[in-house]
Amino acid sequence: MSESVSLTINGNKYSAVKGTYVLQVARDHGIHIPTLCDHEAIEPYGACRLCIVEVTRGARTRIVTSCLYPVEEGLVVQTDSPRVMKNRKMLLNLLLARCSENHVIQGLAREYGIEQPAFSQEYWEKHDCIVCGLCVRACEQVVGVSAISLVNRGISKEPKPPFLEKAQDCIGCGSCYYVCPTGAVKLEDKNGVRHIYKWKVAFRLKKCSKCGIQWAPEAQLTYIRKKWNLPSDFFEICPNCR
Amino acid sequence: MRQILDGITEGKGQESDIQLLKDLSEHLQDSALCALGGSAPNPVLSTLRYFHDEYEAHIKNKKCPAGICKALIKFSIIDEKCPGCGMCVKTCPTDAITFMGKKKPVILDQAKCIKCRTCYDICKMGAVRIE
Amino acid sequence: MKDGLSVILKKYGKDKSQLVSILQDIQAEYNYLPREALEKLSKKMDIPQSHVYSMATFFRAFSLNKRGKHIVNVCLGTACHVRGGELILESLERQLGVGRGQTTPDLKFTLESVNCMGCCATGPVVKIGEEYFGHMTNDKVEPMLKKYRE
Repeated sequence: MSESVSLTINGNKYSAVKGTYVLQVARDHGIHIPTLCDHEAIEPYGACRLCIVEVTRGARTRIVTSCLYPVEEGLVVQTDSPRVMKNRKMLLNLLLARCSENHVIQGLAREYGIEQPAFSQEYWEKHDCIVCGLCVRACEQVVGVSAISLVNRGISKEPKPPFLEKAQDCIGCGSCYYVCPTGAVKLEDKNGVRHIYKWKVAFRLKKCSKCGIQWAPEAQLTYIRKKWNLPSDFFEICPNCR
Repeated sequence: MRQILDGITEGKGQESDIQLLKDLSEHLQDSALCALGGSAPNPVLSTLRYFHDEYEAHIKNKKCPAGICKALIKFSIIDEKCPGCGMCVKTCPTDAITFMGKKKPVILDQAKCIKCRTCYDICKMGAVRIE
Repeated sequence: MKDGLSVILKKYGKDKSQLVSILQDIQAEYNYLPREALEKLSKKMDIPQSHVYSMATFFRAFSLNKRGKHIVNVCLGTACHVRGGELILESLERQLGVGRGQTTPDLKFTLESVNCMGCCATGPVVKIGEEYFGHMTNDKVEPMLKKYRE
């Protein structure tokens, strides 16, 4: 039996399993905390910092990322105190300056009432990527190939394929594209070929021998077949025709 | 943050920048991922506290009282103090200083000067002025 | 090239947590991190190339490009910065004709900057190879380089 603890979120008492993270507990009870770099299938990382909340333990109050803060007995959490909102607003202002043309960020900024960006236009950049590393983590933890990684550090840090060339280990599964919160990873299937431009890769798509639909990259199917020791004709037909 | 500070040293600072720097610093102390991030704005905050007048000088008067920020300073020769020894002429990397003969003050060409401070450091007579 | 690398890899076996030490050894051997060495390391140790590359680009001490015989390090830490480290760096850029992080075409010098060498009392400090030059001024830059030019 796992130990249960009781905590307070926004004035209401809840009980939760010890060791779960504040974000998860809040979500289970329908309390909204904004996030960008969180995904249920991937370990939390605390990169986007939007999920910050104010926690009080004893006499000490501080700001923490709820996605990485384990619940404890008697913890008092505020998800939208003035201090949290002030910090979240500044975060969005910073993200907005970095991704000045990204619709996701613009939408979030509007949601938090940012009419006039805090930083003047000369500091604006046109990135889509917020360097949350979700694509890198998905590739490592979910897919298991680690075709890409975060390279450099500080302000020049970004997800890139090794040696900045074609990502050799990539299997074209597109997980990075599906998890990217800001649409920075672009994927396109055209003329039977899948392109993921950010990693400089292109993959031929497998044609279903029955309906003729091009349903998945050949490289990905080979990877799955090898991993599970499946017969070589296992993926001849698409899941719909099976 | 660095861009704003750089902007101030280049004379492009606005009066709202000081408040923005303070807000940013507090934000960083509150919500940075690592402890180093939390202490990173300390130098900014302490300079804002103890050298507030320098920030104002840079932003309002576009002057650098300490004579460091290249965009805001100018080098010149104090003719009365210059003995015409030629030390600065030899060391100037861009030949911006012309030798006019012994005991005659040298002449500094502003268009060639890259404000590298070499002449200021080498002059034993204190004849180079920074303002 | 092959031998040195094999010795290094043998020394560490398959211990993946030693990646940084291995990279340090490779850099000590070749003066930089050659791409082939990183690829081989990834294969031998069964570490994804992306991890190796990420590690090699994260640390400032590692270089992925060929470096010069003498590595010129200019300190830009707080103390050296206040005492004019930038001016010394600019002076070195002028004298060597290369920018920060670049190598002279004759492969003699690589100009780099660091964020503190721990000898702040003698700032601004320049380090060439293993030799330290404290209390630097612009006019000392040329005589300092002279020794290494041959």
